[in-house]
Amino acid sequence: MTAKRINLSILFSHQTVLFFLLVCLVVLFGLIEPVFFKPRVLFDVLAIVGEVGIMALGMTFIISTGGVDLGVGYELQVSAIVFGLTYTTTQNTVLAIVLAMLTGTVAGAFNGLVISRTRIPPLVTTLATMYLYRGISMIIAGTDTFAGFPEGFLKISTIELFGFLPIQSVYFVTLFLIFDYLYRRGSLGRNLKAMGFNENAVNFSGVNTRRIKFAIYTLTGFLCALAALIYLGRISAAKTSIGDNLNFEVITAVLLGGTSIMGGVGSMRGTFIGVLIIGVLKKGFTLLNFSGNIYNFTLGLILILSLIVFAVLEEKEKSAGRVAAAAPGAVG
Amino acid sequence: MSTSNILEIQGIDKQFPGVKALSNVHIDLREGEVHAVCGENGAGKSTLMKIICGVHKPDSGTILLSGEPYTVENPNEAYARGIAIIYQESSLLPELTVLENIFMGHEPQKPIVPFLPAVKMIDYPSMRAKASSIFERLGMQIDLDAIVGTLGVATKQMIEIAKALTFDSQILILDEPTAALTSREVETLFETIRKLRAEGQSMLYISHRLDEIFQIADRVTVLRDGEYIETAPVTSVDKNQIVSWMVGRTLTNLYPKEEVEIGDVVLSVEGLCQEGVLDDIDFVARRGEILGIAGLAGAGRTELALALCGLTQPDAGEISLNGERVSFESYRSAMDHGIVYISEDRQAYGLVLPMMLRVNITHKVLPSISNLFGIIDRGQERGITDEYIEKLDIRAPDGDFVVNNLSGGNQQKVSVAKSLAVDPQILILDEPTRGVDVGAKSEIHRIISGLAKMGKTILLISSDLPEILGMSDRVLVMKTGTKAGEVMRRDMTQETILGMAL
Repeated sequence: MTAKRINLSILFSHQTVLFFLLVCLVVLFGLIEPVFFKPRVLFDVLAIVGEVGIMALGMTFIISTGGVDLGVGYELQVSAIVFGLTYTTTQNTVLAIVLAMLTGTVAGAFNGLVISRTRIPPLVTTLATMYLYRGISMIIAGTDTFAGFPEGFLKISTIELFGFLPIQSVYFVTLFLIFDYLYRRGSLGRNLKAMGFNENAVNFSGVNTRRIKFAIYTLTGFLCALAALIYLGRISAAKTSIGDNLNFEVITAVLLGGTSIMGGVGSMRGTFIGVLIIGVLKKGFTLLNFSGNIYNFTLGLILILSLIVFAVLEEKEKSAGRVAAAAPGAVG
Repeated sequence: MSTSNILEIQGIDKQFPGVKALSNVHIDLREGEVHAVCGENGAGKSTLMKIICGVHKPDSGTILLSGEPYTVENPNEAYARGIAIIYQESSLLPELTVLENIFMGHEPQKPIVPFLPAVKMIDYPSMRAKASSIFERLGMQIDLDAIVGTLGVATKQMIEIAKALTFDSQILILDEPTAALTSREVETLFETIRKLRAEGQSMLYISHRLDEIFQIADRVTVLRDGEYIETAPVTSVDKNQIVSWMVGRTLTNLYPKEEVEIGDVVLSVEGLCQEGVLDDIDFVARRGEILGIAGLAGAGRTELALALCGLTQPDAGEISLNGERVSFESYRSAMDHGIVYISEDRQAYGLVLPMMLRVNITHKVLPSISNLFGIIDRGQERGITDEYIEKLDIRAPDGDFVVNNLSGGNQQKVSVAKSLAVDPQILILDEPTRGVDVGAKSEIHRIISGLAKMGKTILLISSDLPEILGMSDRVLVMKTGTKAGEVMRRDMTQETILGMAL
């Protein structure tokens, strides 16, 4: 059996299994709480995963290269706080939007700058900057809540197309389609995955990998800011408690979706299903009145289980592939 | 000098996938002698040493240490049996002190709790005393508490030797010990070696620097292509004799060199300098010409290639293409000017092994087969992939095959295909046949000849002298970052080239 077939079958089966898991979850929740089968609730799921989903698209790019951004939740938070502060002081929605977008983008760009220009690992870089960004929003807002945003602004998240389709889901799905296409068919996607396997070889193919790294962290920061606006349109209040869980949810969705934390292997579609699973769990646990602690516990459990399964599969694939691979000549 | 053999190596064979690394090699080391082992790059010197130290296992053959059969599984066992090796690369930990380094892993210990002999701590006083006596033996003044990372290369080398001596080694193996030393430091090292020899220490000295062998060794054994050639006392041979043993294989028509009309100058380089690696390099290369670049490991050949194609930036000098002065701020811009580099290390730099053939072959041309949004044209991708699978006869079922599953020779062809896809004017091939078997080797040579015939300019970097002689129209010989000379095809012999390179 060739490694190519093993590769495909793993990815294929991974996504199928994931989709099956998603369906099972919906059925399970529906059996306990029949209201779950109502289309209304399923659209609700799409609405609440909008932010996580949008950030997960950028995160899939990053993780494909073997990197990670631990602090997306706080990039969202600081963008939201900047929006709140700007709006409540100037009453200027456009200015608030511009500054919020700028904040997230700059936050991401700073990560990208450090990671692409130094040899500091992304894990450590973003661990540090996540507290930096959280610190900034805490200093600005403290325990304040910025609220009272204008109706017009809230529309970015409250419109329902055709009277039933939440607008966030449209943002998410549209962006997903673009990202998926770039990832599967574009030279960007190809370079990202190749970097995850062997960054030197990508450099030696004439690709500026520094620039790509800078771009994907900046893009992710931009997406976080976008997610912040969508979040504010839905919740209508900016405070420093938002975003705490998002770091974890976004990374979980991506890894659950089959993108390897080691880089090189990834799937935007897997991320999409991963995001939906998180949405279903969130909605289901809310409907069943489970506490947030149980939700966190479950998410942690799912993440570690999926990582273990993935690691085992990868090990198997490696040992299968090794047989045919020529050992390096070690003469002289 | 006593004549009893402390180490007898008999009939060692070692096969790596695709390569016969050692075949029927034998060496005997007498007690208290310095025995040099020399040969070209790839002759099998390092493989042999790795077998002695338990890094590799021989396929057949026996080793006797003081008459006893000797087999070891790993370097630690080799140390325990009294064989210590000092590698080319430092094995010292730069953050620790001299004292800690030389006793790393076998620190003398003593019980600290009465009646509880199992509770032990490192016995620093005895460690210190032992270390002092070793350095005294080496005739060296050193601060035992100095951090190793702050010391010079030569001092580190001495610490390596001191470390080996802490094992009370019967045999000391020095693998290219002078590679990174200045001539004055080499002299100090030789003093130490002579001192140890006077005390009866047996040593194997691996080197391809012939001058050193005459200075320091008692006997010399020459290996070539993994085979034992000759052993002789250094007093009974001269340098030419050793060189001819090292290179003396008969040239078959393994190299399908074709006579090609050589055209105008395409590439001209003047005064190329790069701090610490390249010093004032001048040369030209013509259309249809294969310019061999010879030299020892570390002579700056790869560094020259990297500087020529924008992968590193030279400090000074001019590069002209077809008479026009150019400078490349990136590899991409060199590629746009038609210069490609095919790395010597296809696993680390040449290919993304876990990905498919088509991904690798089209990697350098991606910008020209994708649209404004970077979406890759699948038709063109398949077309280019299939074209090169056929042209270079890459043995793979299709373009979706994962490169990792190809043999070394076929991987190398993929690496060449990837660069050919950009339709270059100048190809720099760095050790294109390293680690590939003989069949694939001659196929690659045929490809190179074919390219020259098409009017491409080839820069062929190789440590394989017969390859250089067989393929090149002209050879540029490099030595420690400088141009040591240039030889035309009609004047080429292995002796002249090696003479310049050594």
